[in-house]
Amino acid sequence: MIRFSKLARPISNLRYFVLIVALAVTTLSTFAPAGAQTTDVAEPAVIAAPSSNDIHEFQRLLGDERIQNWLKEAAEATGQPTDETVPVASVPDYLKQLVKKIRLRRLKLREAWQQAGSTPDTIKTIWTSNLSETATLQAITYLVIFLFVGAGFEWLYAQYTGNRLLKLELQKLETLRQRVRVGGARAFYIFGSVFVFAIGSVGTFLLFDWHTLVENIVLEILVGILVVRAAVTISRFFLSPRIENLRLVPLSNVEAKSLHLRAIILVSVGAISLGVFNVFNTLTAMAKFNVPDTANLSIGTIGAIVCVIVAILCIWSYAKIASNDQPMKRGNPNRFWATYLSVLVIATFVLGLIEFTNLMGSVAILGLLFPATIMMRNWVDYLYDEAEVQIVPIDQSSVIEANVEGEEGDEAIAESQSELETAETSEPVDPTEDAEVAEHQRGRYDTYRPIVSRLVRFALVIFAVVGLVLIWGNSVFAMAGIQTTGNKIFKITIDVTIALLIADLAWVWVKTAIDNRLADYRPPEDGHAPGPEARMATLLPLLRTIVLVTLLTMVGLTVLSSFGVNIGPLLAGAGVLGVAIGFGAQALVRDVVAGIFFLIDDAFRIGEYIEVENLRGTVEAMSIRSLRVRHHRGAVHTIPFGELKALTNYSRDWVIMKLEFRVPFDTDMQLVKRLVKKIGVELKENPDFKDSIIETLKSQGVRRMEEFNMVIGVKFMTKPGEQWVIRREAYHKVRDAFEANGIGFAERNVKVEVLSDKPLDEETKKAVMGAAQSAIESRLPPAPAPDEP
Amino acid sequence: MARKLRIFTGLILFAFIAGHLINMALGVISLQWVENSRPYFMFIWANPVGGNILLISIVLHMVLGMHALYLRNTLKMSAYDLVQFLSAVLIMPLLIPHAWGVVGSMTLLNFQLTFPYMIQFFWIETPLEGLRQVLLVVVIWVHACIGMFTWLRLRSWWPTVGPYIYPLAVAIPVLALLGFAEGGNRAVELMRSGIAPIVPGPADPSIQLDRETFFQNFAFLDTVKWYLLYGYGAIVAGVMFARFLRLRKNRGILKIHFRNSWGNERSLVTKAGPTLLEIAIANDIPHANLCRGRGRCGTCRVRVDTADQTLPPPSELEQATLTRLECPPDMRLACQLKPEQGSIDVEQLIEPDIEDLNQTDIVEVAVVQ
Repeated sequence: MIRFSKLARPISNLRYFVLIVALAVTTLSTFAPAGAQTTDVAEPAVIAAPSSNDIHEFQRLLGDERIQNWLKEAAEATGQPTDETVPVASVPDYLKQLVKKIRLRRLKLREAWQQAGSTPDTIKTIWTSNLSETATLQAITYLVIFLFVGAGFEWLYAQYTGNRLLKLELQKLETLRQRVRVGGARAFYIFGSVFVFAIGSVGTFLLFDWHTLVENIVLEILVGILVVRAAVTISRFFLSPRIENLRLVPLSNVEAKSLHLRAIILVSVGAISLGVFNVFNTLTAMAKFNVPDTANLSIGTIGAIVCVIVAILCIWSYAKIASNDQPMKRGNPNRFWATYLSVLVIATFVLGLIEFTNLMGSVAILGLLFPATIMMRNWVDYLYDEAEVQIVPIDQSSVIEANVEGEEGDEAIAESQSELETAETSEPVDPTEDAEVAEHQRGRYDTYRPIVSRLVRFALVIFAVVGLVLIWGNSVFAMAGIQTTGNKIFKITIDVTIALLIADLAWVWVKTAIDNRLADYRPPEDGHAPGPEARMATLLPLLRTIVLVTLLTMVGLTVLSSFGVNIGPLLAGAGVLGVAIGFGAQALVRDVVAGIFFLIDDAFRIGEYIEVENLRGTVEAMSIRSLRVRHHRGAVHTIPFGELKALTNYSRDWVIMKLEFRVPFDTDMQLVKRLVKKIGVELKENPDFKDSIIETLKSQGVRRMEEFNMVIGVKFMTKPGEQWVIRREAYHKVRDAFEANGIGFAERNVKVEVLSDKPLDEETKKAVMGAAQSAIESRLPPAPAPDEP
Repeated sequence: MARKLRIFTGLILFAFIAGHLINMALGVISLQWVENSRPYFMFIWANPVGGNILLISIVLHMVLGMHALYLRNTLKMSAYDLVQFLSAVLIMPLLIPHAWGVVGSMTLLNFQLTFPYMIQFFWIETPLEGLRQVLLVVVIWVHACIGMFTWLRLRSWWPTVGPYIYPLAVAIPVLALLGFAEGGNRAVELMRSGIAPIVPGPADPSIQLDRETFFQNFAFLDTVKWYLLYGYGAIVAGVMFARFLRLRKNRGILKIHFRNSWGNERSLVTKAGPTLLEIAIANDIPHANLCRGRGRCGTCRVRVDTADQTLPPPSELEQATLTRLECPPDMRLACQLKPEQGSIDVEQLIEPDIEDLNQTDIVEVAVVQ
């Protein structure tokens, strides 16, 4: 988290120049296609009014056979692509064409420049020839009415929603999610008001019938206003110049305000100059007399120049504000970006001016791609930082819990474990569940950050490619039949770029997921057995390499295939090899896969005491293929994972230990109960055991009656592996306590009734005792379980 | 007093304008309707008493407005105030040609002005005047509505009634403008079909103006119009200059800390001079002000925690509001309090999204605890 924010912070605010320039360039680019149309629009005007003489001459010429032939040839010629799209044979030829084109354009520009002064007059003449002054004023009056109706509707809307909007703005926001949600709701309300305005103004506009010119102009103005307002709303959503709470970009109040202002200025200037240009185009198209076709060019150029100047002013003034009173000297990153973007704007403009429309679009797109990528990356980082800042409380607690859990695991592993007595069913406590949920949440943001970052970059590049294809589309795909080298290289580049980007995206995802998983892994300390993740730690890098190799292979194959190499045989060869290896390694694969699943199930960890079928022992090591279990007497079993069916783990969570004592029938049970309880408290208080005991020693009363004694039971519950020491201590204490309180352990005694009056002599006594002895021995308690260590 | 007078004159003017526009709105049906219903809408104002009341109201309202402009501490204001201020300044230049033109041509030129003639005049003879007329309607109605609603929203019944009245506030001018446009369309059609334009008849048939007097009067009318316009311009400029002189003095730097229970604390450093409310608005600090800084509602009241200066005592207006709300002495109205240079800590008491005065009591309880 910190790593990213360190990168993002110092340079983050200046990236938002790009917004400005993106706007500027978009406006500029719109001039170019429009500029290209100018001749088409102007042409009908030129031929609009042929004189009767011309018509006569034309008829005469049409009758001429030579002219007819020439027309035929010309028609055939126009069927072919024009000189712009004809693939040229050699570089010098191409350059010659280029120079010719530029020269022609220069001539036109010069003409336009000379006529620029008279353009207002031209506009006025065309205007008055179409619309009288009265009609113009009436149109303006109508326009005012429409705008007022729209504004009135909007005001009404504001009366009903204004307070809700205010409440939204005043909300106290804590998380990024809330900010986005509230910001979105706010934008929705504002868009609603723009929409209502549009309904009001355009709706009333539709109520009336219009002169074509007036309709065009009024519509142009209304659309212009709506576009500007929509842009302002979008800018408000992201920049939120007035309310810091809702801002989605890392900008200060002053920066956000000034950037917002500049965005408004640029959009307005762009919309106005574009609107004027469009209106003028409509005008020249409707002109009833000859309009010089360069007039449009001069209007368009003037509009573009105004846009360029405003954009550059905006860039530099914002750079000044963004550098926070620092001088704009060398080394100030703002200076670099301002220069870069100014150059970009000017380059776009100049290319548009010499009518290299395709090149202009490409320069604009590629030039913007670079800063836009950086900007978006910083922005994604910022959003992630913001999202995580709010998660901190949960984050920390989850870390703590995870640590606790880890320690528990280590301890459990450290102690060697052995067989357990059969556990009685009771409510198992599972403290791991909560910790796991929290841990998951923590990972949720950081795991996806690089992926989202890449995804955004990917999207940007795709946008750029689509843009380029759209720009070059006419020339590139029109000659799809004609395979020129340049065309081919272009296509290959696009193919390869996309393949690389997708592979990169997949690779980053896998790598982040694996690296994050590995980052959580703590290598075992000296003297401790490796944790359950140890096998993950060996498997995951392997997996990473496999994915890398696979991706590289796929990319390589894609590249080869886009170069035209037939990859079919390669694939078939690889397939055959794969099948052969697959058959040979069937068992191995089964073991590995089964191992992965046992690992996922968390069936056993290193150091745990397990039973597999009739093999028991402590898990000592795991390899990719097999499991090594050491019997407590030293024997080592190696079990392939594939052979594991069911597995019993004796080292999980808790164990119950039951002890029995035989006491005479005349024992005071209340006293026993008290004594056991006291011992239980003592054990619980013993610092050595108190952490291991889950439920301390307690009496279970008489468990059964035997011939000569009764059996009282006691039990306790501990963590796995701790029960032996505690049992030992419990035995000691019980014995001592019973002794001190006069409770004797029952001894086996056999009453021998002698049915005779005379006293027995020594020999007979011995014989009787011997007989009794054999009677006692025949009922000895069972030997201890053989597996108990 | 000035407050009451402003509201009173404003109400009179509003009544006139509303009537006039409703009259025009009938043009959506037909111009004949407009003309026929004119006497019903105009009879109050068409006699000397009503006319003079109207005239006095206009002048008084303007003078009071100028006075308010003179007292304005800053031109950075909320959007509503800005619209109110700009529309107020624009009304006179837009109104004078119309009002004086109508009055003058009836008295001096002896024209009987009817709606059909006026429509023809605005749409065909002088379309620029037509445009001015539309702008006038827009500006005057906006100004009137802001004034009215700012006054009305303090009534306890307004929250229930208001939502039903808002649509009217839009419908009246929109219909009037549409009626105006429709009438214009009709007039243009008539002109195209070759019907002779309407010539206004004499307002008083007993008087016959000869040609020379007519043109003399016409010239006089025009001159007076321009004098009025220039005069108004001079007044505005004079008031602005006087205001500039009043505010010329540098008042030093003021540090303010805003505290509140809804967790939006802000500190800021600004030039002293404007009221607390004006400072808050200029710095995008949300602050309740239901009456928009007129000192009437008391929703902008703040508790002054600490101040390193003796604050100017409350004005009569402020004291009245504070007394009515039973505020302790450390409470002040942000819209009236003008702290001098130094520093001051205040607590905002009422949540900025307050919708009507009925809510204040509830909030007050929460705050006092």
